[in-house]
Amino acid sequence: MKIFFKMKNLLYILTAGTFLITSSCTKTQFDEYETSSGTADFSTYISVGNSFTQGLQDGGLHNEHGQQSNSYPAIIAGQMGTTFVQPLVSGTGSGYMHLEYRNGKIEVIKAYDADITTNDPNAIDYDPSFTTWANKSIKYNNLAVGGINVRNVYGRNSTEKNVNHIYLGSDATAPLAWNGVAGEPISPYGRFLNWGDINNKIEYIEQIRNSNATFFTNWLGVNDAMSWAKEGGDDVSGSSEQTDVNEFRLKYDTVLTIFKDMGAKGVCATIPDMTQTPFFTTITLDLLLRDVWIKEGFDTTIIRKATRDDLILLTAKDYLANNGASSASNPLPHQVVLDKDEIVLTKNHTNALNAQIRASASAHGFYVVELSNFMGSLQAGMTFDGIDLSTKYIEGGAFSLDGLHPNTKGYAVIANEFIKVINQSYGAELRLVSVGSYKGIIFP
Amino acid sequence: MKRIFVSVLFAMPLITFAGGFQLNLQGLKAVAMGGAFAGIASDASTVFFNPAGMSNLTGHNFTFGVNIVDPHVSIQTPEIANTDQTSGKATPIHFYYSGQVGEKVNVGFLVNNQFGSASSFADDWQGRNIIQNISLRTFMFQPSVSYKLHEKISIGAGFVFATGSFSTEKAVPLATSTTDEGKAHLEGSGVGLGYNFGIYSQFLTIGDETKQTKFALGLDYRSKLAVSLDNGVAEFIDIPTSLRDKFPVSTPFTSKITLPSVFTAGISVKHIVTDKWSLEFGYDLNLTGWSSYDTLAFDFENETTPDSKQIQDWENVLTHRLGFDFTYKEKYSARVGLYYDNTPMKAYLVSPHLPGVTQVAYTAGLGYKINDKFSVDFAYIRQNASRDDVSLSQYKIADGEFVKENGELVQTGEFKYKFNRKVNVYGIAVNIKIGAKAKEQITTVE
Repeated sequence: MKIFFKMKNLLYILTAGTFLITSSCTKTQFDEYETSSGTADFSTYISVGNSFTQGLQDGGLHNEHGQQSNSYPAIIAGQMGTTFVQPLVSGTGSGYMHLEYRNGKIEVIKAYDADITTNDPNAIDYDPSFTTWANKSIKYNNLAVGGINVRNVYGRNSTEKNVNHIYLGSDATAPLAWNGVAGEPISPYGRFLNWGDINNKIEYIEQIRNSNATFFTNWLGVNDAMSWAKEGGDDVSGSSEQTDVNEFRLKYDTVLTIFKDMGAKGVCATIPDMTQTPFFTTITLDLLLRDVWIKEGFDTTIIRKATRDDLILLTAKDYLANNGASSASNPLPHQVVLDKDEIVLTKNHTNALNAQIRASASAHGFYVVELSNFMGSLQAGMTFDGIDLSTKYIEGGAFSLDGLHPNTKGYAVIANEFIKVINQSYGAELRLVSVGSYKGIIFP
Repeated sequence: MKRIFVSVLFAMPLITFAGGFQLNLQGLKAVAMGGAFAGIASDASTVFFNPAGMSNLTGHNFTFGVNIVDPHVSIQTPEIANTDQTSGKATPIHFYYSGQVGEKVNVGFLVNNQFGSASSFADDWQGRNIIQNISLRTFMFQPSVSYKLHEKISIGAGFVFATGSFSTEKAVPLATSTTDEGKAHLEGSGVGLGYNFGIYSQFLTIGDETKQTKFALGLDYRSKLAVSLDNGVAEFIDIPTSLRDKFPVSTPFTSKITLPSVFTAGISVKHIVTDKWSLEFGYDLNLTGWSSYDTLAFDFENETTPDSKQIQDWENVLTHRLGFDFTYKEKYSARVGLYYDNTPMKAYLVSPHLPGVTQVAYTAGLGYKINDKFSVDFAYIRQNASRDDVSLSQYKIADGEFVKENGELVQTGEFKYKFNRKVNVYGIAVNIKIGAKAKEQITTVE
């Protein structure tokens, strides 16, 4: 009997013990992350750059699904937990490319273009609000301006100053102006800034100087290498020239000196090899399965069959319709082909500019976000949270419809590249973002 | 227009709480003793653990048992501090019958859930493009027979009919103006056939009428079971109209899930002080053939839907199981045990819905014999595990096949995470014994 009671007690103890263990210790949750700025100060974060930094995609600035709101600097600022004011467009923004589903096919519909009469009936034009930017006195954190080259940040003489002002500020003639309206600038994407007028010009470096940045990211330079290439090279007949390397360095140094004098900390990004973007790699002879005749760039008397070493640009699509460019009598215009020599020029120029960016950043005590091989990695394929991204047009999931600019998923990947370097350089603890939270291409 | 390809890959069903998605909850005396039973074979659950052990049992023995598996799993990624799995409780059941039909012959039958898994996450969790939720449920039906070759040796075998039902969901990263992403839902069921056999020997007894020690040995092999999912249905939800040819509202698919073979060697030692108490020790070594689980592929009937393949490439694992049973007056039993479980998942393929880990788990239980006919068993398992260095590697795929360069898979990314997992398992079983002749009963119990 005695032992029976002991057994009974043991039973109670075991039961109670079991219950205690099981009900009390099922907490598995991890503590919330704490972010820290390390030795940096993110209180006033300023981003400078071009369309890539502005959040442009699908050939325009638009925000109907948060495209511009999720520019990579805005994503970074979100992780910093700092205020970040951007010049957000409304309605259809600057006009943009979109996809439509017609007769069982997905078609890319280009943005409305005032210069042509063959616009698609559903082509999206700029929003009326885009031309009238009411308040130009707002201090924006995102100072990126689509189209800007490093050579445009200030003018060394009155000619350069005029060129820059007409390009970004105002007073272009009707055929040059972005929307064909005399008095408008060539590039519309800086219209949120006060550029003064043609007689009292305010230059881009003034905008930087007035920013009071405590921290900056600088991804200027892409256009200095890319603008020439995306129009098939050959500045003799119209495309922007490649920025002179010495001029590039001088003006890049100027920008970094301004930040340094302000006491700001920051990072600068190098230029990716844009010839690996879908804008350059989508239309191939393997895809067309026929001969294509091209006019070479530099020497316009040469007309020849395209080889696998030439890049046929996405802008060649219309010329290739209905068996176009299939004979020597109607070759592709040189503006839509980057021939094999021009490819080498583009790559060499990109490398030369990147060398200057690295040297300049280092000389000013800033750090470098190395994006020079970014397209190479993306071309090989990258997977984030189970989502495969590559440089393939549309199906690759990283680029927008223009084939040059990333979509929001692609921009999130770039934001993470910046965040990694900011953390490393300044001992900050910012969290990477999960790429899957960004919407990417909008399908019909 | 360009073809648009979006891979629809599914990570595999995995798993509740042990290494792999095996449910080691098939008898509650065993559960309480760390899962060791092949050399013990003292109740009807031996139909599962070692059919040869049925020769130990007299009369007609029935066991009805149920376990409640209560998992708590949290995951941390470099991006998101904490994500809890939303998996609910699972309730695997078992039923065993072992009956003596002759001097040397016993027959048995079982119904149980030998493999299973259920993991789910909130809709917006970061890894939803890898896995949103997954569930696998299997039922095994096994008629068995044992034969007493010799006073000390018996053999047994069974035929296994298995049914499996499987469902999984993941996000499809395609947005429209009104949706952020789509979802794929796959569901299928099928059957598989297998067998098992075993040898049991109470090879040595020392001592006398009042005090004796018995030594027993058991070997058991359960074959692998290939469950074909021939009638699966894949549904794609919230897919852009323009991509409906690739991701139709619904399309049939076929797949196959291979449940691994298990080889077990067990020993037991039981010391009995007649009419007072007994102490029993059991040890089992399992070799689970997870290497049979190498890929999980879904073959969609709709030709434009990219077929899906996921490399699993699991490894065979050894599990050590041991436990003690102390029984007082053949009426009250207290049991403790532990098992040392290895993960079959290679380090680079550990998937977040049920991360694998090598671990020790502790078990405990009680038994109470109400009378000669009825007894009940209670068991409890506690598993705590955490790892801070896990990653699921992802590889380049083209046209539904893994790309190899120089014979190597091409890694395109990895999903890194840490996890904490705490699992409680509560089990209860009722045993009924009828038709045992008193004399034989004494012989068995001694």
